Amino acid sequence: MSESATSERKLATPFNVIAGIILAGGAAILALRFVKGLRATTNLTHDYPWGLWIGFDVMSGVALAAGGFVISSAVYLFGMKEYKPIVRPAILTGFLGYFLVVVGLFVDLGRPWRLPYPFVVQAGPTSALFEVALCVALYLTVLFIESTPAALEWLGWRRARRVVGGLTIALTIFGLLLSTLHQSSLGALFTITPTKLHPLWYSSYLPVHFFVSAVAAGLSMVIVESMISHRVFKEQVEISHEQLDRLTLGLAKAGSVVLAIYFAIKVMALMLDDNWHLLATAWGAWYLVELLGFVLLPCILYAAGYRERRVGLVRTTGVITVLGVVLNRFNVSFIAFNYSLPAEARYVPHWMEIWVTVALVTSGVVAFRWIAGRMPILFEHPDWKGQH
Amino acid sequence: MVTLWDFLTFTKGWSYVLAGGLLVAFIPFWAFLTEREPKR
Amino acid sequence: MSVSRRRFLEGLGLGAAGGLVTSEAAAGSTKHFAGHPGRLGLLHDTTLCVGCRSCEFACAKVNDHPLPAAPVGDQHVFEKKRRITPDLFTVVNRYRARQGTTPAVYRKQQCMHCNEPCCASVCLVRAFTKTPEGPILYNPDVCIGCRYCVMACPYYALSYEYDDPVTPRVMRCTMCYPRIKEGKAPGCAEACPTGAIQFGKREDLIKVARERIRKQPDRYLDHVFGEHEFGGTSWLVLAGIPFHELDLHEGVTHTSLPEIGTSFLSVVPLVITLYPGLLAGIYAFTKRREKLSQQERQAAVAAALEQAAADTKEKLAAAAARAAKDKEKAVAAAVKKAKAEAEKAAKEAAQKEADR
Repeated sequence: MSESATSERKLATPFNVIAGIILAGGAAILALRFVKGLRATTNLTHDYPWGLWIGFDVMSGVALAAGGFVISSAVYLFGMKEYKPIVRPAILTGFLGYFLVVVGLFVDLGRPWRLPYPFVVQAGPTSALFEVALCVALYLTVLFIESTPAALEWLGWRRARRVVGGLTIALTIFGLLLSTLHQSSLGALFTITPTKLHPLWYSSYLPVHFFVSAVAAGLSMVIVESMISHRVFKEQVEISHEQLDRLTLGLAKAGSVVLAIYFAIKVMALMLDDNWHLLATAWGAWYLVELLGFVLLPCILYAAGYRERRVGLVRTTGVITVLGVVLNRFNVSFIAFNYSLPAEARYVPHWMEIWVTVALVTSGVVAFRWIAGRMPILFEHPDWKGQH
Repeated sequence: MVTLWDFLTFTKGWSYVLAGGLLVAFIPFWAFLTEREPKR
Repeated sequence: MSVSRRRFLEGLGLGAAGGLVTSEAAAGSTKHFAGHPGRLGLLHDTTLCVGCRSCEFACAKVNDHPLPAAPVGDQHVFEKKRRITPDLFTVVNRYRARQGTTPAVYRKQQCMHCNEPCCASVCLVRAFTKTPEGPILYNPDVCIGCRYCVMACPYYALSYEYDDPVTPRVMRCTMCYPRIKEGKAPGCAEACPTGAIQFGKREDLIKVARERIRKQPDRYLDHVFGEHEFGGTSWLVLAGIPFHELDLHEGVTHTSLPEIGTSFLSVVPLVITLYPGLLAGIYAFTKRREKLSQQERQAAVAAALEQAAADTKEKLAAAAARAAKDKEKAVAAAVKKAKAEAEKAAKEAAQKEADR
């Protein structure tokens, strides 16, 4: 199919050159981080022990990689077979995303070589972070196994492929269970800081907020990723543009409902905590930007896009939703966190933190491109047609 | 707690009113969403 | 159907096992612990503090830190609020009451050694221990450096060694635990010249504090900070100005923060028990629906085929009947024709006979 194209592919394409520079720079910064300590490459302070690497690489990364469990549950548990063509790309995005979360965490920890300690030395199960670590570790394993069928088909290892294929349902159930737990416990991380997180963002129901918004983020990432993959890999994709458009519209319908539920929960939280008066403050205005511009607006746009069958609008809304969830994670982890500290004590990411984050995302894109260009992710392997 | 307003405010009953309102609002939202779907 | 039933039971079994495993973690959040009796504490009377910062120097000496740059009695150091750092386990800051004419108030800040510490609750390797004597201890040998404790502490009492790439530690006041074990008072308490820091049993100090409030109600606010806030702390504070002006949040819940922060744990066993059975059930339901619709489709196809077969049979029978009728007609016509010819031949023969 694309064998001739592979041998003709140059190594020095513009994308590869830029990606190479980004990755090389990232590697250099990480070397500095491990030689001189976190102070040399971050703007972390004693007031802000968690910065961009936690706020984006860990917290936003986990939310954006949620498409894996959403689509696989829809197809394998709820019988929505029409989405089968996008299950494998969603799982791959999920696997690469969670892998990068672990890398991001590794880079941020003070003593990353001690990462297994909570499991093998001494456990602190009262900690929400313990639950996050355990569930992310287990879920990464689940995603890895769920990603192996494509690789095994590519390698031609038929028996192993059959064995792994039989595990699909069990893995999907386990994956949905683990995702519920760790998406929500990322929110639970902040329930212990009611005096530090601004009351508009703080709620004892943060775990529920985080889980629901993660579903919306996952759906939106699938919309965005499938749009990009379809253009970049146009030789490999087996579904037509029209078919992808239909699937995208279906995802928009789901996204609209999920965002509507999320909006309702947030409004209920305002009611239960009696925080209406805070909306009239500067922080309140910022909160309304997030709630109205990045939750309510995409909810309406998804609904309108689905109704009028406007796929372009849906794709734009996907980007807005993703940005909105990232904004929410940023707000909770370092913007609305320590809200009462004076301006000079506030945290702004160091350019090196931003570079490393971009480098991690770039490595994920490069890996996705390599895998999807060779393995049956966007197309069906001829030996295994119709058997996924 | 004299009037209904006072009662709702004092017992946080407004949250139930809001929850009910949100549930009811879902109906026209769903109708808007699915109105133009082909084949009823 | 048997496959999905088995899977359902598998799911329930998984869930039950999961429930057993996690019940211990959930139980920890609902117990209520009043604290070890006779535990130690310190009373900080901010009305007596003059901002000499002798406590900072004593603390640096005890912990082998470099001495603070600004000497005792220096006033410029108060121009910016300072916080705890790896070299400064305690700081004294100056706060002004809102009216410019009233004198400045000084408060010493350090780890409050809470009764139910956030740091211990959020640590995923249990690096913090609350000792029966009162102080909270940190174990750097298991710490992985996630800094969740620094994030969670409501009193901003923790700091981290960001400059150390190999052995970074969380740095905080230890209430001079080795000294306490020897029967001595913490360095700051011993060094304070005005008696603004008093060391002793926490329950005694509360009585002392209440006594001071009772004796001089104009000097003190009627509140012992730390007695109940977030479950109570080992450091108690008295003040003559509102506590929030001293950067201490008053009026917060008496529930300890760990109790609030671990409430999510009760969801874990629920999810682990419910999800497998529920999701397996949904899968089974979906599969059955698919099977039924497939069966319906197959039945429809079979019925159509049967109908087609029946139609064909009918058509064949009708054609055969027509063919038989046609044959009959042809035979009758042939017979008629033969008869007519025979008659004609007989008539001709009779004519011929008549002519001779």
